[in-house]
Amino acid sequence: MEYGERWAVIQLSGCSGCPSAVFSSPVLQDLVYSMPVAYFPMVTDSQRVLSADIAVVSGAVCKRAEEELLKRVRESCSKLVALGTCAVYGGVVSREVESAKAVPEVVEVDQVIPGCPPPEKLVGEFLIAEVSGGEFRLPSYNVCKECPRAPLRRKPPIRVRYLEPPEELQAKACFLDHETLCLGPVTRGGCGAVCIELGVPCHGCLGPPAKSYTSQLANFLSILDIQLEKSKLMQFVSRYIRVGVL
Amino acid sequence: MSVRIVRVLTRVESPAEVVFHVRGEEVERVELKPMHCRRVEHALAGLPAEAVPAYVSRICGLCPIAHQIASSHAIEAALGLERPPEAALAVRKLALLAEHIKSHTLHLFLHALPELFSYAYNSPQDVFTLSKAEREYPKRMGALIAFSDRVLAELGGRGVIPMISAAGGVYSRLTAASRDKIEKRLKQAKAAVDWVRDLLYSRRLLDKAMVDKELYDLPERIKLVTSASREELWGEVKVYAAEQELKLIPAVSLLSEDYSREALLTGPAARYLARGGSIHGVMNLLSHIRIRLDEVKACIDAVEKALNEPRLYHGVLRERLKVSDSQEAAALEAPRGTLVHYYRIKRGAIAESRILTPTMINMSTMIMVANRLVELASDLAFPRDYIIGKTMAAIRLFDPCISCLYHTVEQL
Ligand code: SF4
Ligand code: SF4
Ligand code: SF4
Repeated sequence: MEYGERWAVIQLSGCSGCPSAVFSSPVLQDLVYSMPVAYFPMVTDSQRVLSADIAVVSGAVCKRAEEELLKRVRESCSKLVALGTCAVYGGVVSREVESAKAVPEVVEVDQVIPGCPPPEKLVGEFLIAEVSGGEFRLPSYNVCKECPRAPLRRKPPIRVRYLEPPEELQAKACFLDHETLCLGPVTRGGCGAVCIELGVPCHGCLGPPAKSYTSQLANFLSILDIQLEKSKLMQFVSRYIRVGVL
Repeated sequence: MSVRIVRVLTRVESPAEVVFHVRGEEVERVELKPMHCRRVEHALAGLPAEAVPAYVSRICGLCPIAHQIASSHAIEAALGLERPPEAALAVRKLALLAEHIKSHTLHLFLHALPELFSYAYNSPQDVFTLSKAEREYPKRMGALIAFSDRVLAELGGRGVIPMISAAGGVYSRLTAASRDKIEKRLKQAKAAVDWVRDLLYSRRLLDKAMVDKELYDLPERIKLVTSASREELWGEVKVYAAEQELKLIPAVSLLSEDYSREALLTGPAARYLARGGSIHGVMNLLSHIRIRLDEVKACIDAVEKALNEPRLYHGVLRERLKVSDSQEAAALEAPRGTLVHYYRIKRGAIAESRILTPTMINMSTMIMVANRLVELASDLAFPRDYIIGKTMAAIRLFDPCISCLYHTVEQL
């Protein structure tokens, strides 16, 4: 079956992880092959973005040519989706290139799907909604809601001394109960708390559940008693999102 | 007067621009220009050493595990951990095998096979046209990806940029239930390899492309680069710590003016030679397709064997590293070739780093192949558009991992 909407997939500065994700799940693959593709230079010979119904953009904007391409895409495509944290917030690329911009800083976007990489579940739900005419919504809850660990027991101020969990950590306790910083409370859910399942605190790759990262983060940090070097703390909280950008 | 024709290098893992200098019908010269930029080494400065493996995974979404493991090894060596826990070594080896399968599968199905099919069908092909013309095509590609992604997801939570290797060890081990899930996909993965082999030989896809064989020849004098140059290595992760090694391999820029005149070869063809394969078997890019497929098969067999290793299921996963000031480099075989990570660490944070990727090593040779191709094809009076198309095909067949090249491209 072929769906009517024509797709364009555009890569800006990034790692190719986001666009390659569409080939990573058999469910996604079935959908992808059934969509008419207007532009997808990673896998087709398309040289120029002509008109498309939906443009999916991954990566951050670093060069003038990328900015011009993005503006042309916005003009020629009805709907524009920023896919992945580089596109949505600047991501790791914005740590590397000072002038890097997130896609919404350059053009208006109709939908964002954050994550580094964006969770397969969210990409799948978005694609299914598109082809079936349904509605796609990002989760508005935070990572704590999906977390397999026990809810936080401590009351503020919560002392934080570690960025990596200490060795004696109990397998099922909240990282914050073990004085270990975890950005789960200020990070949008949808990833299934994949890092926490592996024993790694959340670094916030999906960005904030609501608009302003900086103010949410400031509120969160204000209930913590942080006993860490400021530079280390800043490195941690700005791994994927430049603090102050939003 | 010579004019410039600029084309987007498509069907690679991050687009670039190819600039053709053309006089009349004759293409005189080819250059590759970056379209994107990254400054990974710049961003690593000041980062705690233990945060590096996760960060460098974002250099390339197609080979994140190679970057994770190479950086873990270099940091462990710098911080005095001589040998990571046995379970960690076994998990890393399994993950790297899975990454080789996945990366080669994407290269074969997205880049190389469409090139061969364009000869068979006499028209340009891509994964979308082939998924309609050849009903089995997406299914077989899906079977190989499902197999490799299952291994990666069981070890690192997801198929794309999984979290597997950390400085000091790994995050998780395999369980009996994970093993079952992986084994369930084994048969279809093997069948997919047989299906591709059938395409190449029974349906004679390789033979049909032989009309242009000459265009895809490598330069006569090549120098091998493998991480096994000093130790036997095939599919294994071995570490050699030697900062000076970095200086042996010239870092090439994307700009053709700066490329080295020496033809360096790394990746599946170089590994094939290092294992004792014949030099005639690697001197043409079309034969690299067969070598890649053989690596996929060998890696699937190696995964099957590795699943029996008791080390994967038991034992310590990670050692704590001591904070000290030191520097080390480590190299391993990434899917597209030798990957080197070097770090200088001061008070537990990165003071300096340098990452040499396979595509950086391959680039000089790729540019040579492209320039040789346009010279030969122009001598043979091939039409200009044909020459342009085949030049892009040669780059794709060689090494399409432009993302790995971009990790250190400054803004131009
Ligand atoms: S968001 Fe992450 S996965 Fe996507 S391009 Fe950026 S670094 Fe790669
Ligand atoms: S703070 Fe982290 S560990 Fe604690 S419940 Fe939230 S996500 Fe889980
Ligand atoms: S746990 Fe946090 S860092 Fe990990 S994938 Fe989810 S949002 Fe990203």
